[in-house]
Amino acid sequence: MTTAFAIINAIAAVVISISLVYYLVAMVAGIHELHRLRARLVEQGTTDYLDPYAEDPGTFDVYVLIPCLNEADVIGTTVSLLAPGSRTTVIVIDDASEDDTAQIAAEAGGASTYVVRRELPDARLGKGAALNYGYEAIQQMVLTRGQDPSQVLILVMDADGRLSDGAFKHVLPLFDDPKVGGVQLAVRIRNRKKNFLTQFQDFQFWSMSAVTQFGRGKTGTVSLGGNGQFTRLSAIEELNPKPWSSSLTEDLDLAISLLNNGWSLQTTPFASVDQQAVEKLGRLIVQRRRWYQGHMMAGKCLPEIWTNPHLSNMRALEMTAYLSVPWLFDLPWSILWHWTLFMFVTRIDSVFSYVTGPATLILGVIIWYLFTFAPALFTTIVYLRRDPGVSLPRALLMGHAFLVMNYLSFLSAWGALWRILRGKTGWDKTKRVSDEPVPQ
Amino acid sequence: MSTYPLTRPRSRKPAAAVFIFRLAVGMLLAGAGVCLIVFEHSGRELESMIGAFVIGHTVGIEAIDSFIGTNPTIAYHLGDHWYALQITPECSAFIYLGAIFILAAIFAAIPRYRLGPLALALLLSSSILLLLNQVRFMGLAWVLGTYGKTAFDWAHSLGGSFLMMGGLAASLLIFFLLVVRDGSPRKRRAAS
Repeated sequence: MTTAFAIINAIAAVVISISLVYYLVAMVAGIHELHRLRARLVEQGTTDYLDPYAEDPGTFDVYVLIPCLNEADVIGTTVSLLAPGSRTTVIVIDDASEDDTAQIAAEAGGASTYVVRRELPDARLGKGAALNYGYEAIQQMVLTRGQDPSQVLILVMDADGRLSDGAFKHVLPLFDDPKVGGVQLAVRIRNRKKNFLTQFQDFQFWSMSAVTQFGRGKTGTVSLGGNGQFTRLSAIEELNPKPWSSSLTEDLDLAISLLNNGWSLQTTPFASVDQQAVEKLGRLIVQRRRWYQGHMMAGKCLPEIWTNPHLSNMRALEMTAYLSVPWLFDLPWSILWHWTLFMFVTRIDSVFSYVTGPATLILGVIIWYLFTFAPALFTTIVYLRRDPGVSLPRALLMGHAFLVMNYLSFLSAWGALWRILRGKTGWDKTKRVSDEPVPQ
Repeated sequence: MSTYPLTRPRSRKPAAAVFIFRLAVGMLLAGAGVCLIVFEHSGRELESMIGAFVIGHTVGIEAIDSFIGTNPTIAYHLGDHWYALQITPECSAFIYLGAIFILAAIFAAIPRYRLGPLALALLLSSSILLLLNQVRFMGLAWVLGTYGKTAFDWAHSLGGSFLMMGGLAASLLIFFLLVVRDGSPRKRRAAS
């Protein structure tokens, strides 16, 4: 029995260690990358999201794709902020909305905005299908206008997405490198002060995800998200005629396809995209379950990654680690976490065997806490530095919230696995809420 | 980008033969990993022998390998007393070594990762873990003999546990860094 316990403990230790190595390497690489670019963690921490074209170099033609389904609450502001670009064309794909999405978008956008409408039963087939529909329109426009696909960018935005001030000034020069096929911007949560859940999502995106993405820039394997996603048309044209897959995470699939073709995917600390977060727990679980399901199903790409001569070993390992996260970390950890907790409680005397009085108790607990929660404290400090508007108690709360919020991951990962096993791949769109009006 | 340079030349060996060979190496490593876990008691005996030898020859005190119950033990003589460090399954590095061997087996089965660096990675990361555990034994023996049971509890519960967790993470990091090496510097430049 003792040996069996030791084996389970060793498995838990190995899972923790591998995830710790991956997380810390990505975080440290991210911070190093910021230093290399002469940026600080606070970069973009206080930016506004009103004028993405400030000092726009205008070196690329940009086509903005905005798939919409009942987005009347938010689409007007999004289009009005994106339409003014001198070399920008906005294409709103109305996926058979039942509200005034199309009309509001057309009115807000003006001459550079096109609203293409999909009708049922050919509509509402997922975000990938909607993007492919818009992509066909882009191909026709590029051909008609005689534009060079290598000098054309596609920007995918969510209907509630807004780019930071001067975003184009920082993103377009990255595409001057002919190896760069895509750029993903860090995500900021607009309604982060609404409640604990929205703040936690901001913490995840802005503190952990953004910094690790900066680190992944070193291997050129930044993951693409569905909002603030720039891709080079000539890179997209090398792929399937319908480049966005029908998967639940069409953005991740696109990233893998581009990487497999030898393209580099980058990000920048000097621009970001903000969006709404889900405000209710039920909706958040549904959203995360969808992301997990897509992420887990993308694991089928691993054999291609392992045999692809276009990828360096480092890139292949990084992609393998990223795609394995739900399978190797979340699912096993959902069990091992409880085992570790059980062992901690039942062996509390042994864990704190050095406690001989109040003084040793306090000292011992402090030292134990500092070691055990070191990654949480590290992330707390990063969040505190990333956003000057966050107080220390708030940052500490977020840094330690994983103790409870782990269950969101566990629930989502197991829910996703259950759906995969049952062959359910339906798409459940994230619902938006009305925004505060944008200051004029 | 279709002309993007290949990171490694195509092998002349028949693909099927290479696949079978690598699969065999992978299975061998996985088998070794399972054996290390199943026969961890023998591993602990080895660790107690090495520990007794190391303590005896570095700290310069009398030390022997022994048993308390079924647990291999390092017994050593310091001052007027004999002390004993029991090596339980959780104190041993062998189960962790088993896990690293199984990890190496997975990499061996993936054709892109060369077996040479993989062997080096396995050797180095295993050595680090074994060495670190011996350093831990030595430190614990010294703390127990010099400062007594309370100090030992501090060193064992706090210091030892976090040292081994940090050591495991470090050895895994070294393992991954060595495994992903793309070969010669020229090839690495081409791949970057």
